[in-house]
Amino acid sequence: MKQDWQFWSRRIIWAVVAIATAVLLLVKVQARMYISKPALSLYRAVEAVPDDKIIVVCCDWEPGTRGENGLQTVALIRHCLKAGKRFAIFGWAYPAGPMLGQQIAERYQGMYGRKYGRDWVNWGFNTGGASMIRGLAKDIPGTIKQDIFHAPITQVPVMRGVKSVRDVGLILEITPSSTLYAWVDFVYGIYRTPIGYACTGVMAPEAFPYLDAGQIIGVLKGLAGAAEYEKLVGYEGDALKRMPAQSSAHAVIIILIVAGNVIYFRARRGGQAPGRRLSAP
Amino acid sequence: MRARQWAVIVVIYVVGGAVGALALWALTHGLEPLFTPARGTAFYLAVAAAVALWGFGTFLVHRLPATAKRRIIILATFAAGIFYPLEFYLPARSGIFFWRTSHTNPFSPMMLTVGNAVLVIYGFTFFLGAFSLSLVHAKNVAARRRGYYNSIAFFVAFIAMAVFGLWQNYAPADQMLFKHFLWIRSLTVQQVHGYLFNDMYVPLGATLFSVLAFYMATAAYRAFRVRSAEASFMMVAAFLVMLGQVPLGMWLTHNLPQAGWLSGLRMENIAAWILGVFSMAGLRAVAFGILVGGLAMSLRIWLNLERGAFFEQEL
Amino acid sequence: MRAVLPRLLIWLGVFAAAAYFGIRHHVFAANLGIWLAAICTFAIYSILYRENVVFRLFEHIFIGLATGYGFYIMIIQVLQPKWWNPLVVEGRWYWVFAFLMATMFYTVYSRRFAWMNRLAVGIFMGLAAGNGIVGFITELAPQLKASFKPLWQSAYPYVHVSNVVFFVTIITVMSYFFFSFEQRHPVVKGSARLGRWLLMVAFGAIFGNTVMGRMSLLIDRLEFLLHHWLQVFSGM
Repeated sequence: MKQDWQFWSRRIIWAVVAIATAVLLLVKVQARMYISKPALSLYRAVEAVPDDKIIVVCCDWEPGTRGENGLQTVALIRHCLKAGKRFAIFGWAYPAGPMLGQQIAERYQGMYGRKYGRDWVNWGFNTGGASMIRGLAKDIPGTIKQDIFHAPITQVPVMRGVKSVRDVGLILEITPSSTLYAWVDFVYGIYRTPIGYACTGVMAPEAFPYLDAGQIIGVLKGLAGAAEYEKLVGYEGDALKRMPAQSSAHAVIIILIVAGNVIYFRARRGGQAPGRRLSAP
Repeated sequence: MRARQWAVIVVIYVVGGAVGALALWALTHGLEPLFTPARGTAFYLAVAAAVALWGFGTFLVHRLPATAKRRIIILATFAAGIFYPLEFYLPARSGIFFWRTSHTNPFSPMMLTVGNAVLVIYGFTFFLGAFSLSLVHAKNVAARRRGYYNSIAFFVAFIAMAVFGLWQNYAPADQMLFKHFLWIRSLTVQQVHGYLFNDMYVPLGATLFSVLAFYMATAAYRAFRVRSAEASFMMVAAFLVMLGQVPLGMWLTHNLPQAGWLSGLRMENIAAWILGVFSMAGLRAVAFGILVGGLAMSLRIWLNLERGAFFEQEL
Repeated sequence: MRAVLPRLLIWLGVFAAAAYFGIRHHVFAANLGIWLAAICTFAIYSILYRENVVFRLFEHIFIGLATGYGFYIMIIQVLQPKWWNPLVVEGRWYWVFAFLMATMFYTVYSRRFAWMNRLAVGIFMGLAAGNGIVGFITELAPQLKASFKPLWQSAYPYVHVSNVVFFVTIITVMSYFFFSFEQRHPVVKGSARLGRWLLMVAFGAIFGNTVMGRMSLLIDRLEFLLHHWLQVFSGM
C-alpha cells in the first residue's frame, strides 16, 4: 500500500502541475510584464546597428529548448525584419539551429516585405569550435564560403561589404549551452564587437557577470526575456501569451516546496524518524 | 629530476621548436609555390603524392619505439598549443618580424587556414560518433539482445533522415516520391523530410526536455528540505527570483510606485537586484576560480604535465 | 514483446477509433503532421506513467533522427562546401591532408595504431589549450576591471549599497574557495563562512531560473497539444 501511495503521489503531483499550467493556457489573462534593463539594452543595441553593418543571429539551439530559445529567436528576427536590419543566421553548436532559424525567418519575412538574399542570409551550420570562430573573425567569406542554398556567399546581395567581424554590428547568441565564451573571449575580447545573449533560464544568472563587465550588451532570460522583447518590438506573441501559465507553474512549485517542508517538519515534531515520512504525507 | 634529464628535455623542446620554426618558414616561403591549385593529371598526381607521403611518414613513425612516439605527441601538442598564444600576444606589426617585408605577424594569415582545417576535421569526426553508435546498435541486433527492435528503429530513423535529407537537398523542389498510393494523392521528398524533421524530430526533442519539468516538481515536493539557515536563505532568494520574473509576482507589488525609493520593493526590481548584484558577485567569484583553473588545465595539457588514464596509456 | 503484442494491438485499435471519430467531429486536427507530432509527444510522456516499450521505441527513433540529421548536415553544410569543393572543384589538392588527419581519429578502434588517435587528439587538445590561454586574459581582464566599483563616490545611496554588497560578496565568496591552505585565522574563517552564506543567494537565483526554464519547455508542449492538436481549444 505504501509503495502504491509513493507511486501515485508522484503522478498526482505531475497531474496538478500539468492541469495548473494548462488551465492558464486556455483562460485568457492579461499578463502584466515590465521590461528589464538587460532586455531594453539589447533592444537598443539592435536598433543602433548602422546600415552598413550586419547582425549575426547565432541560432545555437536545438528542438529541446524550443520553448525558450525558439520564442527568443522569433522576437529577435522579427525585430531585425521590422527595423530593416541586415542579418545572417548562423550556427556552430547544434546542427538543427540554422534550419530552425531559417524556418522562423521564412515565416515572418513576408509580413515586413523582406526577402532572402536581399535582406537576410543563412550561413548554415559550421562546426569547429573556437578555432572556427577565430578564423571567421578574420575572414567571413573565407570561412562560410556558401549559404545553405549553396550560393557563393560573396554573391549574396546582403553580404556586400562584409569581409570580417569588423563589418558585423552585433552578434546575437541564442543558446541553451555555454557557447558564449567563444564570442566573448575571441570576438569581443579582441575586436570589441557587441554581443547580445539570449539564453535559457538556467544560464541566465551566469550571464550577469559578463553584462556587468560590458562584455555583453544585453540579455534575454528565457521565456520572460522573450515576452519582454515581444513587448518592446510591439506584438503580442506566444511568449506573452504563455506568461500567465508560467506564473501558475511557479506558484505550484512554490506551494509544493512549502507543503513538502511543512509536512516534513510536522512529522519531525511528531517524533517520527524523518526518513520514513519524507515522501508521503 | 636530475639536471641531465632536465637538460635533455630542454634540448628536445629547443630542437623541436627550431625544427617547427624551420618547417613554418619553409611552408610560408620555400614550399609556397607547391601549395597552388592543380588541374587534371597534376591534381591526381599531387593527391597521390600527398597520400604516399603521409603513408610513408606514418609508417616511419609507427616503426619508432613507444617512447619516441610519446615524444612526437608531446611536441605536436606543444606546437599546436603555442600557435594561438603567439598570434595573440605578438604584435600585429613589428620590426621583430624582420624576415617579412610587411613586418606583419606571420601567424595571423594562418588563422583562416587553421580555422577551416579544424572545421573540416571536426566534420569528419562527427561520423566517428555516428559509427560508434551504429556499432553498439548493430551488436544489439546481431545478438538479438533484449529490446533489439529499438535498435532496428534507430537504424530505420537514421537511414530515413539521412537519405531524405540528402535527397531533398540535391533533388528539385517538387521531386515526387510517389503518386496515387492508397488514399495518398502525392508525396514529395520535401514533404517526407518535413514530416521527419518538423513533425517527429522537433516534437520528440522538445518533449524529452519538457519531461524534466515534472521531475523538478517532484523534487520540489520531496527533496528540497530547508534544514539549515543557509538553505532558507537560498529558498527565499529562489522564491523572490521566481516571482519577480513572472506576471504573478509583478502583480503582487504593482501598487508600489515605479520611481523613488519604494520602487526598490517592487518584486521585479528585487529579482533584478538579486540577479544583478548579489548573484552576479557570487558567480563572478566562482568564474574567477574557473578561469584560473582553466588556465592551469590549459598549461598542464600544453606542457604535457597532465596525468591520467588517457595521457598514460600504452602506445 | 510477444506477450505485450495483443494488448498493444487492442490499445492501438482503441486509439485509432477515438482518433477517427475525434477528427470527424472536429475535436482533433485533421493534419497528418500534427498527428505525428502528437503521437511522438504522448509516446515520450508515457514515461510519466511508468517505463514502457513505446517510450523506449520513440526514444531510439529520436536518437536515430538526430544522428541522421547531423549526418546529412555535416555532408551538405560542412564537408561539401568547405572540403570537397576546395579539393575537387577548385583543385586545392592539399586539402586531402585534412581528410588524412581526420582518419587518424578512427584508429581509436585499433590497439596497434591507437598512437595515431593520441597524436590527433593531442594536436586538437593543444589548439584548445592555446585558445584557453588566450581566452583567460580576454575574459578575465574586463571582469577584473568591472569588479573595482566605487563604494563611496556615488551620489545615489542605492548604488552605494549595491556596490558595498557586491564588494563584500565577491571578497567573501573568493575567500571561501581558498582551499590551498588551512583556514585558521578567525577573519579568514569568518569571511569564508559569510561567503558560503552569500553564495547561497546565487544558488537560489540559479534554482529559481532553472524552474523557470524547465516549466517553459513544458508550457511549449502543452500549448501545442491544446491549441494545435485539440481543435476544440484552438480559438482560445
